[in-house]
Amino acid sequence: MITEMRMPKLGMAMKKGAVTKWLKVEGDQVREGDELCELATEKITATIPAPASGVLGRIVVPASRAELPVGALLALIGEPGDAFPSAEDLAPIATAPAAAPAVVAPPEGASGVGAARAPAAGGEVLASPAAKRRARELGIDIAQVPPSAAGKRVTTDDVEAFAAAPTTPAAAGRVVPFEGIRRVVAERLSESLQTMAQVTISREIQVHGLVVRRQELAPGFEAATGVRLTYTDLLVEAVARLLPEHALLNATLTDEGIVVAEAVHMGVAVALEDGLIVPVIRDAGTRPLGEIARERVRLSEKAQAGTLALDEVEGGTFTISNLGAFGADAFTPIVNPPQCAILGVGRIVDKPTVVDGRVTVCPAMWLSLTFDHRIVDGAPAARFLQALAGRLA
Amino acid sequence: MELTSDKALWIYDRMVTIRAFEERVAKLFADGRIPGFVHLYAGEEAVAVGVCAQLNDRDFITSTHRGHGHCIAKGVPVAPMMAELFGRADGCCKGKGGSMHIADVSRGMLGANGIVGGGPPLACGSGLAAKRKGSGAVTACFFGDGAAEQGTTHEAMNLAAIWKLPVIFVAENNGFAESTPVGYHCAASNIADRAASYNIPGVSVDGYDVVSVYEAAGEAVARARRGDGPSLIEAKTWRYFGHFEGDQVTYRTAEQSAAYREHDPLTWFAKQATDRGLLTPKDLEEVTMGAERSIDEAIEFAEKSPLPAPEETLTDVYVSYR
Amino acid sequence: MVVATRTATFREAINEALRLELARDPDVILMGEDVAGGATVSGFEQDDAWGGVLGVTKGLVQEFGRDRVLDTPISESGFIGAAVGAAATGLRPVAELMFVDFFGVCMDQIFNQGAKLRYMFGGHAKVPMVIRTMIGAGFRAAGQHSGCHYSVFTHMPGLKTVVPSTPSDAKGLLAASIRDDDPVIFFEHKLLYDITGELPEGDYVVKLGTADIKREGDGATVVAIGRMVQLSLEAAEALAGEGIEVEIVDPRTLSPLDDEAILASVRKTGRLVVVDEDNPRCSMATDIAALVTTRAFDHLDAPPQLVTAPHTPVPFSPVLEDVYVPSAERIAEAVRATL
Repeated sequence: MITEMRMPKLGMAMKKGAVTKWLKVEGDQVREGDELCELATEKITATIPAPASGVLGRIVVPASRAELPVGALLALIGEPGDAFPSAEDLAPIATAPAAAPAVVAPPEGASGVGAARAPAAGGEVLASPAAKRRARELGIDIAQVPPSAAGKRVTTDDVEAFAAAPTTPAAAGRVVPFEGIRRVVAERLSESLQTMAQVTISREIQVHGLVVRRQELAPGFEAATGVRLTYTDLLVEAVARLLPEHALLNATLTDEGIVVAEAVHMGVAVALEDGLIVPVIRDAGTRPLGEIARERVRLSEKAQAGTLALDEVEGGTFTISNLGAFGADAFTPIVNPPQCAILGVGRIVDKPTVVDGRVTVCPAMWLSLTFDHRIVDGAPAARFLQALAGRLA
Repeated sequence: MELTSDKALWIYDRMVTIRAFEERVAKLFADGRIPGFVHLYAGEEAVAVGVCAQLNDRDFITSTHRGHGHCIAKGVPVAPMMAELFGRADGCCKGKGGSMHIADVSRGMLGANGIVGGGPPLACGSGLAAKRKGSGAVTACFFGDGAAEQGTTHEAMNLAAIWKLPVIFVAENNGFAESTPVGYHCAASNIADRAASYNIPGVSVDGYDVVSVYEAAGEAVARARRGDGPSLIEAKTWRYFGHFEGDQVTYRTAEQSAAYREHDPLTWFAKQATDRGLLTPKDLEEVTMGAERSIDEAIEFAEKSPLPAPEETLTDVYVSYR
Repeated sequence: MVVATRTATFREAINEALRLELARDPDVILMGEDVAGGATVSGFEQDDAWGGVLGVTKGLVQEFGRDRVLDTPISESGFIGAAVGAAATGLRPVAELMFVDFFGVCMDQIFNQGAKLRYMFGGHAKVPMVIRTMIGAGFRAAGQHSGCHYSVFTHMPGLKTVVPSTPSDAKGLLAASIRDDDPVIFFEHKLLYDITGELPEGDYVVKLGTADIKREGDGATVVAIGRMVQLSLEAAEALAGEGIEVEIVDPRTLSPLDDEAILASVRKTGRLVVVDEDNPRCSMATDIAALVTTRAFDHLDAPPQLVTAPHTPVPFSPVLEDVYVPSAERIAEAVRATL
């Protein structure tokens, strides 16, 4: 009797995954629970256990980068002598959900009826009756609840844990800057450009006020907070305080319509050795500067170490990308979906300027605001830049 | 134990009532008005009546699947009996037993029994209870020649013998266990011979002569009441109808049946009783008419009685379940 | 209310219940093979030779005489049927079917007569009798003296069935069974006769149809019958060491079954293990599993686990019999399988 092994749903948002490595070969004897293959998703990697004991009769999907949907057929396990269809025969159904697989019957003479576990088919959720009832009571979609281990039945404990978690996805797992991150970034950004109507407005502003403020605050700052004050901190503070008056820039477009976020959760782009990650400073609009700075440093260190948690990179409402340190001026940052806007910040350069009819030297900086024109128009976006300019002048 | 006129009248009335009841039931059954099965006693009246004539209301009887005759002989009224056969709420078992389990424990009738040989152990039980309680009651255990071969019958006779239980074992030998003749199925020449193996008295009588049965029963009852233990009476008799209604009775010849009907027990006793001046022809006629009338009334009663309510399916299983 | 107790064996508990009921009600009689023993043998006129094959009824004939404690011939149909007839006509007999495996030789009297008389006679009869009978394997008594088979009797409408697991339950349930007006089959596990426990003194009745929680817990519900209660308690100790606290429900009466006690426990724990020494097909194990899956389906976090004997007769050789009888290890494994 053949058991199907299918792509499991490892997290609430998981839609696809790729089998990156098989840990056994066709013909190997496996025991239920043995680690069988490695899986990579957008966010995490995992090893997947065998759903049954027997012979690994057919590997349907070879290790590759190819992404398959949750529920896709990966392999077949059965008894020696079973007729395992060839991978070609299985190919058309490899990505389609199959009918519910048969339950392994208990042997004659064994004590009692016993437990029989059916591996989940493409659309069916492996959950206990009690878990389904509890999910119904709580108004939760049982399909969103991850089991305590891959391949296991979702139980009431799992449902309760899911319900108690914060509304941002708190699935187990840490963000690992993985070799696939390049690909992930590529995909997300190109998806971003394809789905949104992005426009960038640039403006060179005078930042005399910004510079002076930093000079005044910097000396005692490290003693008071433990971290050095940077321009990014001051920009986060300024933008976050300003956004509530320009709420459409702090919004997202959903099926229900434009949803304006209540708080400002500021994404701050961090350059990594091999990629880019955007951790989020939560409630940047109401937290004092010292906290913002400390939080930015904390997140930045975690980003470099590769230990950011999922809820530290999700849930941002606006992003700042500061390329000034690298010498950039104006550029066209790409909006971080599902946000509406991103502010690109360039370097601060002393420039000659005219004040009261006289030529003088003033620090200047380019701001590049990319926004989703589906949500907000050019004029409001420009007004935001104007207001920001006024703050920083 | 001389037969008195009163007793003779009672005897004749009971036998005629049994005959009338059974013949009417045969017709009702053939007309499809009685559900299930019936096993008719017509022809064997002298056995039940002869024995029960020596019993009182406190005594008990156990019976067989052919129990209507025992019931009537023990004094159970025919109206609730008929209602029981019709499966009605006013039946003596509320319609829940039917012909094969017809009973009236208040009159000491411990039930017709669908299990051949089911009665004898129960009879030992009622004998044991009577002995323990000192009630003086005796139990007459009716069983057929078929049951004589069932293990329970042997166990019961042995048990009653060793404990000296007040039981009268009455083997109604009508010559056939269903379709199998007694000459084939019984190793003993007479069922009564088996009494010797239990060291109890055993006697074989003409089951067509109610007086013979009456006299043998009298001795057995007296012995039981004295505390001397059980007896076995074998009454050789004949059932007029088949084993059950619907039985084509191909295993008996017409000549055999005709011969027995020639010496019908009712006719025989009517002659005996009138010859000895115990009964007059008028008595006989009144009994006959009275019996017919009581059966008419019984049928009317049965037909007017309501069907049991569906909830009755669930009641009377336990005195109290929880 | 504080009740005086003493430490006593299961055997003593049953003996005491019989003695108290014989004393209390003159209609109670005992009957069975060698319940006194030595009938009519010189020297045993007022004594018992055996007092039952395992000594359970010892001492009763001395107190109540051979008119109340009756030795019978080996005629189960005869004397079990007599018990039915006696019960139907005013006595309250307690008959002994020595080993439950012998039910074949008297089943008609129990099933077609005793269980059905009241119903067939439209409620116009009652059969207030008790049949005591020995059950259970582990005694090396082999295929015809080691079964349980209480499910066979539980299946029959008209009968009540009782399986005690401790001395105090045995005493209280036997008293209740004798006072009950319906036919009760009372199953005594032979390996429990020597276990000890606290026995309440004097008149002590445990109501039929009430389960007992022998151990509280919220990790899993273990419904255990008869001697399996003892083994489940052993398994529970081992599991507690692993941080798993099981709840042990002892039904005590199988018919009528205390459904609600079992369901309430499963609603609390979400997991069911049934431990039944009987053979698995058409057993109390499947009966209870069906009860829980039909009436507490939405409370189950795992399928029920049934720990039973195999579908075989009881083997003789000790090493084989020890495979047949469920063990504390198997019970613990079954609990772990639900987690």
